[in-house]
This record gives sequence, C-alpha cells and structure tokens, in this order.
Amino acid sequence: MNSTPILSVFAFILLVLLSGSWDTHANSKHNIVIVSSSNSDFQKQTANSIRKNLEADGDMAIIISTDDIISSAQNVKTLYVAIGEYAIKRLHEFDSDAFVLRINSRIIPGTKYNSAKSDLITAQPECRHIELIKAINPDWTTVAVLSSIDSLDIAAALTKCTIRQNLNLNVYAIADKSDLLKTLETAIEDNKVLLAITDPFIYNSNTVRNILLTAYRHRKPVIGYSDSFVQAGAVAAVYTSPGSIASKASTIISDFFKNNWQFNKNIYSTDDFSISTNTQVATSLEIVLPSKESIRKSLEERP
Amino acid sequence: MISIRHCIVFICLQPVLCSTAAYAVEDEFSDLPVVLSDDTLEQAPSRAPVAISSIDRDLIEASGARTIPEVLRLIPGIVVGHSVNDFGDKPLLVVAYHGHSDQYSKQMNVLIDGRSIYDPLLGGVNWYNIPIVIDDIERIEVTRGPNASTYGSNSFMAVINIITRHAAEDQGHFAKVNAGNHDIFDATYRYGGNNGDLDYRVTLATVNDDGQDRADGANANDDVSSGLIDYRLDYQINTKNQLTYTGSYGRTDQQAEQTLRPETEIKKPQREIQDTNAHQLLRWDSTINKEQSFIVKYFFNYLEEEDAYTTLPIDASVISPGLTFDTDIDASYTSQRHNLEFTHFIDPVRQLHLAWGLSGQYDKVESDYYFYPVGNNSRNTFRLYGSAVWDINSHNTIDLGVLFEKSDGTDTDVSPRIAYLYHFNDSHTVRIGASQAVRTPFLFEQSGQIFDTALVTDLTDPDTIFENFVYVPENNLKTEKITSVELGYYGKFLQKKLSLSTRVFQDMLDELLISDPRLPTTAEPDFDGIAFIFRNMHATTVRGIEVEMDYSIGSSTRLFASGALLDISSDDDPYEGKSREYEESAPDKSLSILTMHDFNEKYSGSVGFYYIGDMSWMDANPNIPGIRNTGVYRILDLRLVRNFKFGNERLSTAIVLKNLLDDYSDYDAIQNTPEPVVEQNLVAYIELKLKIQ
Repeated sequence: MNSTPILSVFAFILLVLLSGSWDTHANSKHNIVIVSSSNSDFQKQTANSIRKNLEADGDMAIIISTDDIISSAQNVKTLYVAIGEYAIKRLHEFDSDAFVLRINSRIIPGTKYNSAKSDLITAQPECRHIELIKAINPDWTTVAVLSSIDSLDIAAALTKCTIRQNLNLNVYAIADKSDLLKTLETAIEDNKVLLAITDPFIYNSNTVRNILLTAYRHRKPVIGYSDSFVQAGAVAAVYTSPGSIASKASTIISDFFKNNWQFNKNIYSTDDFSISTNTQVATSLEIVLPSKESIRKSLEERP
Repeated sequence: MISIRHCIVFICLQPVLCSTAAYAVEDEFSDLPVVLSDDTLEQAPSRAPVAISSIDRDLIEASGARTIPEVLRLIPGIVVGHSVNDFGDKPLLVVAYHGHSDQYSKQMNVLIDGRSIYDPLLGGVNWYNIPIVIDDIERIEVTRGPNASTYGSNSFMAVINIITRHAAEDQGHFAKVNAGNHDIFDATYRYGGNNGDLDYRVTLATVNDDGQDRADGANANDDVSSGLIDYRLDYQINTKNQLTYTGSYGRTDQQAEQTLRPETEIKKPQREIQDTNAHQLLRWDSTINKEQSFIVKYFFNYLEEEDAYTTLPIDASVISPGLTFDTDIDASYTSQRHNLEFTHFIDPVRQLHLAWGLSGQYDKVESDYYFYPVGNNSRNTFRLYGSAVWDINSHNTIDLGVLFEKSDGTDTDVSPRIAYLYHFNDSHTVRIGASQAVRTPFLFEQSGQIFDTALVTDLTDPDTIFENFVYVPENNLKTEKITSVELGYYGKFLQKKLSLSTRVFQDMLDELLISDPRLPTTAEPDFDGIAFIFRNMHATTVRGIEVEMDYSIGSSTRLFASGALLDISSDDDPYEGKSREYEESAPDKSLSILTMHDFNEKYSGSVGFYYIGDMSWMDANPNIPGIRNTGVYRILDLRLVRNFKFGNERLSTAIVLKNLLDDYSDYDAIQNTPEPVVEQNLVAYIELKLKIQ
C-alpha cells in the first residue's frame, strides 16, 4: 500500500497546526516562551495564569516543557519565562545569553545577573512562616527545622525571626540521607512543631511520606511551604499562589518590554501571600485551627 | 492507567535492581503525594460520635504484651480470658466487651487495616492464629459501643480496629527474640526497604509457649506454636493515587485437652489442632481534589482448621457389659471471605464532611462436621452506608451515620447513629449519642448442623446412639439488635497533658441468640435425643460508667488508667438460669493502670496493674445463685528496659515479669469441680530487640 497520501495529509495537518502557532505569535507584540520544569499542578497553574495575563496585555505566549526547549527555538528575539530550577538550568545550558525571567523559590548560587536576566523569587519571607506558627498556636514555642547544606541560609534567617518572636528554633543538620529518619525522630520528639523549608534534598516526594507519617505518629504538626504540602498532610502553609506569581511576572514582563528588553532589577519578589490549611489533619491532632481569614489578618497585622 | 514501567517498579523489591533519579527536578513547585488521607487519620476523641480508645505504639510496648488481647486489657470494659474447658475444645484467647461472651466472642467486630477478620463459621477471633506481629502495629483503636455505619457488619457492642504501620515507617532491619519460662520462645525478623515510589516490608515470626499450668502446678495441655509471614507494599502511583498490598500466611499448632466432662458419652482425646490463616488485600487510595477522595478495597481471608481425631473409648456397657468402642471424627473446616468495598469521601464545604460507600461480601464455609450432611454453606452480604459530620459552628457538631445491610437469609437491616457534640472550648466536649446495630447470625448459628454421634447397630436392636453434640438449624433466625444511648465527656487538663474521657451509657440488647437444648430433634430418624438449636430468645440491658485517663507527667512519665462499672440485667427468662448467665457474664468492676517512665536515655520501665471483678463466662456459669466461678483477680506486670545505641543500630534488652501477684484463673470453665482447670502464674522472659536503620 502506498503511504505517500497519508504522509502528505499528516504533513499538511502539521503545517496547518504550526502555521496556527506562528500565527498566534505573529499577532503578538513580542515573542514569549514559558518553560516549565515539571507537569505539577502548581507549575501548570502558574504558566497558564502568566499566559492569560499576557494575553490581556496583548501578548501571546507558548508554554513548553524543558524537553522542548531546543525543538521550539525560533530565530526571533524571544523572552523566556523559566519556572523552577530545572527549567532555569536547562535554559541556561541551551542559551546562556537568552532573555530570561527566572521564577524560582530561591536564588540559584553563582548566578551572574545582567539586564537580560532577572529572578522572581517566590518563597515567602522566612519570618512569615514563623508568624504563621504564632498565629495558629502561640503555645508552639519550640520549632524544629531540618536543614541540609543547601538551606543553611534559610535556617539562619529563620533563627533571626524566632528571636524576635520569642520562639525557640532548633535547627537539625542533615548531612546524609541515611541520617534523615533518625534526626527526624529526635527533632519531632524534642519540639512542638516541625517547620518544613524548601530544601529538595530533605523534602521531596520520596521522603515526605516518612516525614509526615513520623510526625503524625508523634502527634506533632508539620507546617509546610506549599499548598501541595498541605494536601499531603501538613497542617498549614503560607505560600505564594500561582495567581500572585503570574500577576507579578506579568508586571515585570510589561516593564521589561517598556524598558526596551531590559529588566529593571536583578531580583524581584512577591508581596502577596496565600494560606492553606488541612482541617482533617488538624482535627485528628486535636488542633483548633483559626480560620484562614483570621490567620491572614494576624499575619498582616504583624510588623 | 498503570504503565509497564510502574508495574516493573512495583514488583521490584531490591534497590540494586531498580533505581530512579526522579527527584532531581523537585522543588517548591512540585506536587507531593497525599500521605495523610481521611481513612488513615485517627479520629480525635473530642470529635468522635462514640467513645474511642486508642492504644498507641508506646503503650503497646510498655504493656510487655506478647499477644494483642493482653494489650486490650487497657480498654475499659474489656475482659480477657484463656478458655480451657472440659468439653475438650481448643483453648482460645477470648476478648469480651461488656460480657455476653462464651469462648467465641461474637458481639464484636475485629479489623486489621479495615479488613474484618471474625470467623464466619462460629464468630469470634482466634487470637493465637492472627498472622500479624505485634511490632508491626501502629495503634489499636477500640470503639466502645455500636458503630456499624463506619465499620460494617457485626460492629455490635464494640469494634477493635488494628492499624499496622505504613511500610515507609519500618525501613531497615528489625529483629526481636523473647525467651523465658513456660517455654516461651518468640522470634521476629522484619526487613523494610524503599525503591523510589515503593515502600515495602516483610516480617517473619514465630511465637511459642506451653500455655497455662493446672492448679496443681503441672503443665496443662494447651501449648501453642505458630509461625507466620506477613508483608506490606505501599506504592505511590502518582501524587494523587496510592496502592497498598498486604498479605500474610500463618500456621498455628495448638494442643487441646481431652474431654473431662464425665457425662459426655463421646469424649475427644488430647490432641493437636492445626490452624492456617492467610489473607490478601489490595487497596487503592485516590485523591480526586481537595474536596474529594475515594478508596477501593478488596480482600480475601482464608481460614483452615484441621481437627480430625479418634474418640476416647466409648463406654457401651449398656449394650454389653465391658463393651467399649471408638469412632473417627473429622471436625475440620475451611472458610473463605471475599470482600469488595468502595468508599467516597466528600467535603463540599469546610464545615461538612460526608462519606458514603458500598460493599459486597461473600462468606463460604466447608465442613462435613458443622454442616452435616451437606458439607458447606455460604452467604452474600451487601451494604450501603453513609455518614455526615456537620460542624455547625465552633461549639456545635452533629454526626449522623446509617448502614443498610442485607444478608442471605435475613431481612434488610438498618443501623442508624446520631450524635450531638458540644465543644465548650478546644479542651472540653460533651457528647450525647444514640445508635443501633445488628449482629447477623454466623453461618453455624444460621444453618449449622452437627450430628456428632456414634451409632451401634450390630449388637443391639433397636440401634443405640451415643452422643456428644447434636445441633439442628432454625430457619427463621433474626438478627440480634442493640440500641445504645450514651452521655460522654472528653476533656483536657493541665496544659492539655492530661486527657480524660468518660461516658455513662445504656445498651439494650434484644433477640439474643442462644443454643437451646430443650427441643427434640428431627435431624435423623434414628435419633430421638435432645438437640441444640439456636434461637432468638433473650433481651438484656447493660448500664454503666467508663472512665479513661492519659496523663503525660513531664517528658519522661506517662500514666494511662481506665476503669468500668457495669450492671447487666435480663428480665426475660424463658428458661431458669439464663438471665443469671447474662447478668454474671461481666465483672461489676474493672480497673487498669499502666505507668511508664524513662529514667534516662539508657533505662526505662513500666508497671501495669489490672483488677477484674468476679464473673462467669457464658459457657462456664455454674448456675448456682451467688456463685461466679471466675473470681476476683489482680495482675501486676513489670518491664525494665536497657537501651544501647551504636551509630544507626539500636539495641534494647528488657526483662518482663507478669502475674507477680497471686495465681489466678481468668476463665474458669470447669463446671463440675471446685478448682479451675488452669491458672495464670508467673511469666518471666527476656526480650532482645535490635533495629538497624
């Protein structure tokens, strides 16, 4: 059987689809590509929200995964929006001179900034996590933090906050993965609450089961750093929502184009925050959670 | 859909064979698996619609228990007995809540990880033969009172829910050995590992002892020896879906005493009975979104008992002086249970928590002895259940539940539950609740037929029949019914370090089933003797108060105490003495105290004291007014632990001393002698435990 007609049809369809894609960009004021690190709900929501905001400003963006960076490369001036550390690193490997707005929870060590690169840091200020603990239960006076060498700066910042809040923060260093469980047991036994921080070496989908189950077995609450962490079993978290990230990113991008393809600042951060709570876990641990509105008010009132 | 790659990972147990670097790209934005879902969470006592006691890992260890029933002594209202009777039956560990129990404690549901394990043939649980290791248990929750809408069939007077640990919590090697008097030798080895999204553990164990001693100090014929393998795999398919697969296989050899009852014509010999107990469970937990999740669960239970013997010589001197003969009896049986269940959890708004579900269960028992002459019986049970918890505001909660249940041979039964909780603040809650539940007759009660007789035809005319038991079925049995009302209080004091739970209750039981020996049988044309028949005959009322206290004194001492005051009355007395049997089937007073203390990092210890008032088990009541043949007894247990740490290895050695006070009998079942057949006396053993993470 001759397959040429079928191939021709496929080629035509592909051409139509691609031309549609280019048409989209052709109508756009600027060429923008959003690169996401993973297929997580959070990344999808963030990417979609950014695209939606850009559309409202008259710009069109395409969303791709890190695997498609090379194949989607265009010979036109492009602004990349990289979401997550993996996308940032892959994009840097692909084109270290590219225009990139890098959305990440922390500053990647060794970053060299110029007017073509800027970071939007999504992590909430460290003190806000401490304030969340105080807002939920002022009696949680001893707080455990597990930290690897990658997150010592966060632990140090948290320590400063706890001094102001009259809390006792105990940092437990994890040098090796084999130490995690043993150190976790000690940390949970000796403190009233475990505060999780963004350290993928310690908190990832492989370890979170053990951490949450161990804490639950000791009837100790875990304060997370994301909505996903709360759904997994943390009692509460204060985090930056996809909507807030998208809003801030859209403003930065708008300013970037107004400034003739130059970022005004090296590092941006978001001011807004969201609160997530897990009432089922809290109820099981006999913790009476204040309403989200009440927690928000309490956090906003704190200096 | 599960991909082939997932399947390969699922069956791959050794990290060296499979490895993954899937976490290299994880960051703050990554999805995390749902770990603490609705069904894995422990219900807080201040939010529960019924009284719930929870025995956690620390209490289990501190109790020094080698068997689960020993731990259950801590629950108010629960009595534990070692049944050794004069019928020549297999010795059993019996756990009863609020009396009404013979050696088969029928009015209670027992679950392991949501898998109902009561025996479909006779009811009750053979605690010697549960293939589960006490060290794999995370906690034991005991619901005191009926709660059928949550736990299903047979959740009548109480529910014992044994929850094992997630495989992720038992990583590395664990070994334990107990050795002591009474020929105690227990050994356990467990290995837990992880391979990416798969956590697994395998446990091998053996438990052995020579049972109890006779009152004269000689060893009774009730040795127990068991071996088992138990495994669990938890596989995270993705962040929203998890599969759990558990399985076990256990085999128990138990000695049984010969029939001592003189009037029994057919006497069982002293013998060994072999029991096999196995299961497979597959469970899928899925989180749809923040508001919804569901569980699909299938399990299969298998029980087999081998009890074939030749009777002791039967005295046939009525036919010919000095004539004796024997006969072969095979009282073996096998049973199977298949259960498929779907439960859907919905939180439409923050204040409302809903759950509903469907289940179907198939029980089948094969036995030529218990189902003479057909050889088998089976039953289908279908359930539809739902519950709603509505937090009206921070002070008021309403909890509703209902179960519709239809079993072959019975009408559709409805088991409703309602509770109103008033929270004065986050430390004090009052609960008013009412609930109803049913107990469907077990297969033997419903349709069992035993013709345990020996027929002599060649020497006499007419034929002479010698009998042990004859049971005939009753076609129109109804379910037993319980209506329970209670007023409960749960409070926290002393900066929430002391929790106190108490309740005043009244349980009204009706249509209680008993085996009635007064009817002539039509089972066999040649037989015109007395046969037993199960009938719904009695009603009782149980009133009482239960108190439970858990007090953490500083960081190194914990005191757990519970007590119960009970009164059982039965006005309905078609046959003389039966009411008294119910009324005396539980102690009026009972008390449990367990204290544990960490002296320092190296030394810790615990002391347990138990007081049980006098009572008579239902199949052991002497029917003498004012006489309860299981007298008051007190138990004092002691456990001293020395801990060692070597890097990642933790070694501990403990001395466990049990029954330090007077010898006692907790199940005096000899009706015709003043002395109990067995007694509990000093048990002493050394425990060695090694954990390498």
